[in-house]
Amino acid sequence: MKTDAAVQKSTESKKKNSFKRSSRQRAKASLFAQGEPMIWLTGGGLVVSLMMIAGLMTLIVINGINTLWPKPVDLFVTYDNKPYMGEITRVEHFNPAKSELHQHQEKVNSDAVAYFEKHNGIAKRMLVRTGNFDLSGEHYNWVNEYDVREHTTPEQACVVERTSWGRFYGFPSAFLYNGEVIAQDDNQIWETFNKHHKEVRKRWRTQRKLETHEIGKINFYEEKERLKLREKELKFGIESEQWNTQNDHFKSFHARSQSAYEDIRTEINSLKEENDKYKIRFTTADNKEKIIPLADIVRMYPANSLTFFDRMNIYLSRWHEFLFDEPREANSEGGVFPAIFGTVVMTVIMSLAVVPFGVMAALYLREYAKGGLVVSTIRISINNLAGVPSIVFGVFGLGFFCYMVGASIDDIFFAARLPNPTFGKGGILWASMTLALMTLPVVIVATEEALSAVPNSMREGSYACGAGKWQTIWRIVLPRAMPGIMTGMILAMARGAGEVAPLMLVGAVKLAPELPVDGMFPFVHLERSFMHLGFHIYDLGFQSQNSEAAKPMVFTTTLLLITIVFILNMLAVKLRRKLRKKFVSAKF
Amino acid sequence: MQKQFTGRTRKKKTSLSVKAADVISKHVITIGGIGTIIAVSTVCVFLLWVVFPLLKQADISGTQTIPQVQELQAKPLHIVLDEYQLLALNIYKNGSVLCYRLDNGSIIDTKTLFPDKSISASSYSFEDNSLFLGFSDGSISIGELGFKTTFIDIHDLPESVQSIKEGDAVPYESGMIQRISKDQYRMRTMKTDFDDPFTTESSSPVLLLHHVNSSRGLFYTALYEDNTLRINNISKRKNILTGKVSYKRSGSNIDYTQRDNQPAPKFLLLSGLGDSLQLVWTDGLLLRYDTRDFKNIVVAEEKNLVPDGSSKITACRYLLGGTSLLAGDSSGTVQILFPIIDEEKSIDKTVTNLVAAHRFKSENKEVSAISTSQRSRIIGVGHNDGTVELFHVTSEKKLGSIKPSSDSGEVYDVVFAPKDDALLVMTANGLSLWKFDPRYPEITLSSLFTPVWYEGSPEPMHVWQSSSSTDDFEPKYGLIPLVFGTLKATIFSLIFGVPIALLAAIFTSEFLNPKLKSHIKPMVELMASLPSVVLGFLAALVFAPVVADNLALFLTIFITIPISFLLGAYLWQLMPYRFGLRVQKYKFSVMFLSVPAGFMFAYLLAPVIERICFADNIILWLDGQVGNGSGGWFFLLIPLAAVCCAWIFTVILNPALRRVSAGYTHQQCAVLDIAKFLTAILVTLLGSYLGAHILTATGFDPRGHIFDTYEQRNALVVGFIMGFAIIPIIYTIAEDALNAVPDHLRSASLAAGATKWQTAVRIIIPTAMSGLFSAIMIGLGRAVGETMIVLMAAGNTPVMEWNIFNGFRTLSANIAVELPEAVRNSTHYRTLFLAALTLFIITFILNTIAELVRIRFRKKAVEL
Repeated sequence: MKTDAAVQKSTESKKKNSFKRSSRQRAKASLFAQGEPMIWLTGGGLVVSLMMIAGLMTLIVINGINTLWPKPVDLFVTYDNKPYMGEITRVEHFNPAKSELHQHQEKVNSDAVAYFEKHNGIAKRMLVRTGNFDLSGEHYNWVNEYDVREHTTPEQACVVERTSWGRFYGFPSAFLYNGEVIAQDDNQIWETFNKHHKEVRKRWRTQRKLETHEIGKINFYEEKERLKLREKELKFGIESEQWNTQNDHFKSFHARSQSAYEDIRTEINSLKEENDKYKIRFTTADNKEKIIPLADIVRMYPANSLTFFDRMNIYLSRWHEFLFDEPREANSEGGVFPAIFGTVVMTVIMSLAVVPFGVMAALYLREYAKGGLVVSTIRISINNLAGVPSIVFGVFGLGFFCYMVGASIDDIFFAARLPNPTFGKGGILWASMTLALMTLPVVIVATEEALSAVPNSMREGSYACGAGKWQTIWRIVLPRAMPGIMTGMILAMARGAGEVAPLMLVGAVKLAPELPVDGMFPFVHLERSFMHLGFHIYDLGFQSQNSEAAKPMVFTTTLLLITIVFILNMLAVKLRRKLRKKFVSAKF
Repeated sequence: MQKQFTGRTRKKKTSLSVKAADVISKHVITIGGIGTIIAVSTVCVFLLWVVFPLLKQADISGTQTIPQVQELQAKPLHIVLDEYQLLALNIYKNGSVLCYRLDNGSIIDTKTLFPDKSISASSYSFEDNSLFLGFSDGSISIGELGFKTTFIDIHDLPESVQSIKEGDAVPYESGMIQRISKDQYRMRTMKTDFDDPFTTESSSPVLLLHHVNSSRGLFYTALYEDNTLRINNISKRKNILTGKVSYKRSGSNIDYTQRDNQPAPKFLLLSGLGDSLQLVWTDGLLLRYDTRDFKNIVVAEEKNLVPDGSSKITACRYLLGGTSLLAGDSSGTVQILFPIIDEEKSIDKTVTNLVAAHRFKSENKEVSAISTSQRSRIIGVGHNDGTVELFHVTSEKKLGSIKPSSDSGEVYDVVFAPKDDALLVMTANGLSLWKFDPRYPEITLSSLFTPVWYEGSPEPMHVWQSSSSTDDFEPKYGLIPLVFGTLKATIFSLIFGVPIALLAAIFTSEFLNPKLKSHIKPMVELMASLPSVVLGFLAALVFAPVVADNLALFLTIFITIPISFLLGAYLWQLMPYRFGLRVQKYKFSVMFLSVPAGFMFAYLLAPVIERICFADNIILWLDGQVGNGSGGWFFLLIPLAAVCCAWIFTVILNPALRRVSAGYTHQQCAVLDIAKFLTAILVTLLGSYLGAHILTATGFDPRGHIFDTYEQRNALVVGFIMGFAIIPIIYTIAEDALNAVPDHLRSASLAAGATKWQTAVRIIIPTAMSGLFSAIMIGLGRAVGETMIVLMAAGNTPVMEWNIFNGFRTLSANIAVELPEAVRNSTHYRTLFLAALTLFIITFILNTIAELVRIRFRKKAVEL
């Protein structure tokens, strides 16, 4: 076929030559040859991929930003007099079954019939977040538009974010202090609420802090003492001399911590007692009463009578909570602070491990190793390792770090805690090591690239001045290659921060009770499992019972994660550009 | 002259610190560097190290011959082994039960059951230690024969027993006592507990007896000498006041007549559920009765186990679970039979046939005993020359063979310890105990990668099903469904991703304004860093429901978007030539309009297509409920027809058109071109319509193959979203390859009068071909190993169907799902490591190929 085409072409060109040349002729002759449609098709590839990125980003950004914005509260009353009050989460169009239509016609429900006629049989339905799970047993309800008799947005309707049972929607009817009504009027209730809420919450936070930190501390140190005792038991046997001294020590320690515990308990109880005095009584849309202690209320606002600034205020306070608080309600509400913290700590430990070794390997390959088949084979293998699926590293991490290295460490250093594994299970150290191994090729390749970009003339110049090899590397080569090494590190961090699959195997958990770094000696607890933003997304989207409520949270977390990853990547790109410029200028 | 130099004398030696730094740094870096590289390569070695034991044979060692004792010489009816391997007991035909120590064979307890009666048949079940004894007067006694544990207080023991070491055992009274921890002593004694015999339907001697304790109740069957064959459902009742035991029996006699000139059957066996009954004669005839309904017991099947009649059946019993029947014959063959549903005869799937699924052969050594493990599908086959061979039934792996001594004589019985950790072999010459570790009996290379015949399935199959809730579950470790799933995900994502990525790369490198390029390329590269968990979440929770609701629209978009780009091009050509040159720089922006245009076309067209091709409801159509196959073919054939049509038009029509249009103006040409395009569309539609009808007429229906029932999480969604992950990678590498083509080639081509498009297609792309290939390879590698997207959006069912609308399970997702739950060093754990190793090897090979090709290409490009 090709030869045919070639022949055609040559005959064509011969013909062309016989014509008189004119600009018009040239134009038309090239129309078919220009392949405009094909160019458009290739352009289409680019346009489609760009639009895919843009669409994806828009979706995430819009959803992520919107989620925390306070929405109005709608009250729907259906024809069978059922009220549904809450925030509209989603709107859908659907084709109701014929039987349902008939049912409505039988009910002599002229409005609904008219509705169907008007909309060609296609109906709208809304997913309303009605909350009040403790009363109704449902978080969400579908409301068909044709069922709705009345749709209002009541002024007094109020959204309550609680520490448990999910959101509450209702009308505040009274403010109780010590069981007595001290405010009944709407304005009065809000006034008293604003007056007391802060201090009550402050007390609640103190109480929480005492419960988790102080009592946790006591338990932590007591556990340590107990382990010491067990160690003695393993070493010298029970009822030996050493054991007895340790046991006495332990007993006195236990008594001391017991009394400290009692003190904290009384403090907690007094705080609780004070807080228990403040309560608010609500009436729900279906006329049920509910009393909620003020301490349980995280946030409360009259959703339909907010000014823009009020909304902004709530929005910002929600972001603050999201970024700096702990999760509540099985991760579907509250903040992601532990996940952010876990991600950061893991990434930092990973970088500490990966950069020195990556740079060393690259220096060896580029500056020390004698070239040849072996080095190029190694180089190819390292390049290839960058393409090995992350889950394989996870499998390796679990088998090698957790079950082999970790178990050996346990046997030698933490025998007292067995059979509970200390390092013999997933933890932040092993997760970091696994990811370090995974990102090692990235750092090696980037560093090598940077090292090779340093022109040989500089090395030769340095040697000519009498510098040794190490002096040359340390003073001349490495500073020039620094941006490249940084690029490698940042790329590795970005990959590490976004990777989830291996972490699922080596230590990321749904909810970690303790942070990997805290105020208790030795401050960095490398054996602890941790929360991770990426795993948080997976867990919220796929493992949570109330996935509809978790969905907005997933979007916000996603937004946060890709912001982190993108910022890191952008930094890397910037640095790489800088490096390239340097490299170009060094040529001359 | 030199002496006149008055300055400081030059130090000729490098200072020691610099030297030291050099040496130290050299060593540190060399060690660190090599160490790092070794650490990285450890990954592969470690995976291999974990996987390797899978292929090892079982470990049978530590034989312990038990000294011969006169009383134990005879062939016992049954042998029962204590789970702590301290004691064993034999029951003999004369009713005596001997309990003896396993370490030295000394008898420590004896008992005689029913001394006034003579046992003529017996049946023992390891599961509940129940023993049925049939007597010569036709009566039957039910009881329990085994061991019992009592914990004895330290103070009740004599000094000599108190002082034994932890773990040691000594005889005490009529049993063995073992110190299991500091102050815990465990006593094991024989337990015999028999009820009085009850008279049965016949008073002639019981010939054969068998019982099962199934979930449906306790069943027993007996064959008497007077040819009465009886099956009974029996339940025990104890009178609270008198303590008297009575039995409630219900059952029926089975129609059975003695075969002419033949001895009585040798084996009588009930299946595990009590729903079928087998009679086996030594000449190989097997008669199977269907006993699901006692009122209507019929012969379900008559089968000859040795069709050539050359050998005799010598041993027969059920495998754990009571579904598979083991039959050993005098030629040394053991066959494993289980019932499968007869598709031809049965309408309601009730007619079953026995099929010999597995066969183990040893050379001409008569099978003298078959025994089964009490917790796995391992069998021990004893031969008349004293050898015992061990097999795993499902994987057909030979675990090993043992021979107690050179002159041990016939194997009477082989007993597996309850925990599968020891083996007691009784031969004519005595007893021996063997330590036994089956290791990984379920796994062989062929059980991983070739079809395996699992119990109850009609034929050998590839199945992955690693765990289940029941105990006698047969784990199915076939990796092929997972490899298939990986392949499916890869192929669908490449079909979507590769064309877009390559086209985009060509456009970026050849036609895009360089200024714009420096912004766009990093943007696409940024997409490569998008965490895949984000893509997976979007695919499963956002994208999948939307696609499910608008499937027709979504499918139509794949056709309308390319068409709208082409249409855009033809319309663009219509512009006056000079004006067109002036607005050239806006072309790329205008291209963006094609996408919304394509969406609009799709929106308008989708209902039409759904009505014409898919009988107005694509979901029902896919399910096979409405419409016929031609619509689907039509849709499938459109891309194919479009490619054919484009090829025909370029090769045949274009030269002709050029000749014709020689005298036309630019606009006339453009109009001609657009007419050509519209004709091409028409021809394409016509072609695929015709093709669809021809295919439908020949009886092919795309449903059931590539189209089938719709599931929300499917290959289409995964392919599309995975595109996001692989497009940036392929794009970047392909664009780099195109860019690496030396500029002088481009200049030369353009200078010779070729258009940009001609240069791109005939010069640049062929030169960069190997670079493009390596780009695709690396994209392939990424798609193979992608975990989070498939984990979240692929549904994770390990099925092997090409249907684009259903899910699958990939190797990587399987690891992520199952590894956290797998017990360390179990078969499952190691198999998952094998899956990881497979992934590692696949990607390593792909990447190496890509890398080698790329290096070659780079060399070539430099040479140019």
